[in-house]
Amino acid sequence: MKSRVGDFLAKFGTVAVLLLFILFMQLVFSDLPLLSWPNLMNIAAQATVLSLVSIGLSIVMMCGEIDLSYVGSLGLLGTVFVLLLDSVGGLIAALAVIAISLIFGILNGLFISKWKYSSFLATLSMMFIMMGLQRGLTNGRAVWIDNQEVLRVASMHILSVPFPAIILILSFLVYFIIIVYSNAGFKLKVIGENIEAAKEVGIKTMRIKWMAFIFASLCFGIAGVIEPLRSSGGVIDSGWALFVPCLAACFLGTTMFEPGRVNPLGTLISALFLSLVINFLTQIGLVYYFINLILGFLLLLAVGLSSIKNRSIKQIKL
Amino acid sequence: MSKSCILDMNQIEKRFGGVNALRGVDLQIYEGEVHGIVGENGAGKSTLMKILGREMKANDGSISFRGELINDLSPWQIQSRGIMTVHQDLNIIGSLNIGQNILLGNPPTKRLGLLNWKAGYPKAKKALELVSSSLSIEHSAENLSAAQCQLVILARALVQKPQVLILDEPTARLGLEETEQLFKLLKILKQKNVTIIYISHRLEEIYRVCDRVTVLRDGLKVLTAGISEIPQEELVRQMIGRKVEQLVPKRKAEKGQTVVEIINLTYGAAVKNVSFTVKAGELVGLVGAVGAGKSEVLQLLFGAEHLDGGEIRVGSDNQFMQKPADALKAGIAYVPENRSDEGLVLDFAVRENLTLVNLSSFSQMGFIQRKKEHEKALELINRLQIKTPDSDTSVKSLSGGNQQKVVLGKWLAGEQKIFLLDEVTAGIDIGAKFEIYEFVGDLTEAGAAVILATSDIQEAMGLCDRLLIMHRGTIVAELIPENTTREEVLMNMMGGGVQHEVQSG
Repeated sequence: MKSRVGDFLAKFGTVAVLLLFILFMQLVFSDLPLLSWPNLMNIAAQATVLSLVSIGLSIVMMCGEIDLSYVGSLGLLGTVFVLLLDSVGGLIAALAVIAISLIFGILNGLFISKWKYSSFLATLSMMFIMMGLQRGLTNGRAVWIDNQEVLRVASMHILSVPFPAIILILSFLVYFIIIVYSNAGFKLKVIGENIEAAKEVGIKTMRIKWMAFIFASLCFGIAGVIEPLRSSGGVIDSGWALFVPCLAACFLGTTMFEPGRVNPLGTLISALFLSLVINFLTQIGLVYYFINLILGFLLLLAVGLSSIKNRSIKQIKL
Repeated sequence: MSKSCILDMNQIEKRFGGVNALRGVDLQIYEGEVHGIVGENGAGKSTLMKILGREMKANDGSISFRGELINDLSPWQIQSRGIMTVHQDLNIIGSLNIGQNILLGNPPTKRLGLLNWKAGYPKAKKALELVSSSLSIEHSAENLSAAQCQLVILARALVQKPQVLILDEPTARLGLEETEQLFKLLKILKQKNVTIIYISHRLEEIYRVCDRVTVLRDGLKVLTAGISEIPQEELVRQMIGRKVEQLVPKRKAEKGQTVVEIINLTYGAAVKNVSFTVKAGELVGLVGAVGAGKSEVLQLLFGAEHLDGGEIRVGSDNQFMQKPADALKAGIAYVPENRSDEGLVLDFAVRENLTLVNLSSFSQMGFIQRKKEHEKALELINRLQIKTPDSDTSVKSLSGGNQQKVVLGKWLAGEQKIFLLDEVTAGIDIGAKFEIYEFVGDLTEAGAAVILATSDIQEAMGLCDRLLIMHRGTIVAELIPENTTREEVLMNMMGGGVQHEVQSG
């Protein structure tokens, strides 16, 4: 027998717990300006890359696959952006980076939907290939942005909202409309729920999965432009820092709104929350490897919470 | 019947590894006819239909639809030509409503590829009304019964305006009323000149709805004939390649003491005040239409559901089956209705499935003793006449009847004394059915108590010692097969019987 209270808790319980956690942190560390507007906007800017990647990852997870290539692509794309910046200018460099990311997305889709590779293994390989390429391009060194003009654009605020956050909001809207209101998004979810049903009713499962990987690579591409703008350069293996937070965001997202399912709003809220946690932990002064420790536990907690309702996540069997 | 040929399948060949699933099958389907396809499991019916729907590729042969060669088209191109298959698998998405499930393949779309469900609902509603009067499109598809799922899937095919409709065992999960409604629907479709390919194990249905019938056996087409030209006995003989004396074997078992006593069992609205007893060596039939509450009674006995009221006594103890493990300990075995979901690990080998329940008896210090396990598996395979290349073949490659034998066999590896069997012969061919009946008979002879939930009257009357007829969660009659008629059982199943008590011996 289902109870309404149970249903409500399953949908919104996590959100409430997260809010309480944030308030608790602020109350305990009342001398730090954790919830001040400037810090929140700072968090929003920091959250952009994490959120964009999580969005991309979530769309692939919704059709029952996984894409780990973001760990490699963030570093590679950031480096390529910095290297191109001086010769072709910011806009072209950004478009080129996104185009490169799309090529990797097409390759991922080719391996997984056409050649039936396991998405875990194919994208893991792709991740290492991209890490290798990044090292090859720079001989293993970090590269830095000298172009002050470009950096100024990146730190611009529109209506006191930072520029990266605006990109995030726009991207999320597009993503949300695709998933919730579009034909293709619906078919994507059907594939994730029950691929046999999808095949039976003539949904082109291969094509839609492919599209999901391409969409994900688009998200990674945009994130790959914003990441170097935020850190003023391309750092070797910069994607590692996001490896766990992005996975955690998708899993934690399954505990909200549509329990047991990777869903758009849950993913975004979780990504923002995790950025906030990372920001708080940094401000409190935790050493960075402690942050990893805590993120590891958070991922465990997220997966645990997400499995409570249905004993498993609908789409992903990891 | 001098109509034009709408589908022409020519010399279809299909091999799985070294096995010839189809050997040069020719099949002509006329426009507007209902064409029955019968054959034992493994005869190639499903394979042939999958090749037609292009879910599978034939090794050789050609298929033409209205003169156009279609064997190289993609599955959705086949569907877009109006060739729709209603599969046996109930692929329903629980998180969507019924309407969305019906429109699953072609969600209604407005500009920019955005969804517009409202635009599709009238169409979905019309299709749903054709198959069922009780379901509504706004209703969530979560928690639908197997019969309701089947109806939704049928509506899903209808909404695509099929020209050729392939129905694979459509009534296997339907109750009596729903089956009648399906037959009415077939009539309507026929008037609209829709061609129907009808696969069923229930010969009565074949004779009721089909114009012509094709018999497949071991991947060969044996014959195609007008339904009025071939008597049922002859059809059965062609299907199994030999003559059958009887459809249900005789059994003889001594009845012992009462081993199961159920008093006033209640579970929501599904089971209301159900009481009965079963003796050792006795085979009690729990007979009712789909949704009568038979499955729920078995689930309660097995501890898969928690009862709201009543008592279950197994042996002399008052047992509370909190969970299946308690029931297992009490010596209860349960074969669920949905064998592929609940009864089997499809990807595992036959051997592994057979020994799964009693793994500990083949293990020493946590290691499985392969040789012992293997011997036991072989013994069971022989005893149940499971048709499998070897014990290491994965269960999913077996036919439905043989899968069911594996489900039964895995309980035999242990020491279970009480067997709860739910629709064990649904969707299984005559030959395999007979073997399963024999096996159930062996169980009672060995002193086991068997409760058989079934909606198959022939099976219930032929096999059981006593029939408990269920209707809407209560036992409405207790009948002895020798003293009753098919009609009386049917009347009671539909709730129209006069309530009367028959004391069992």
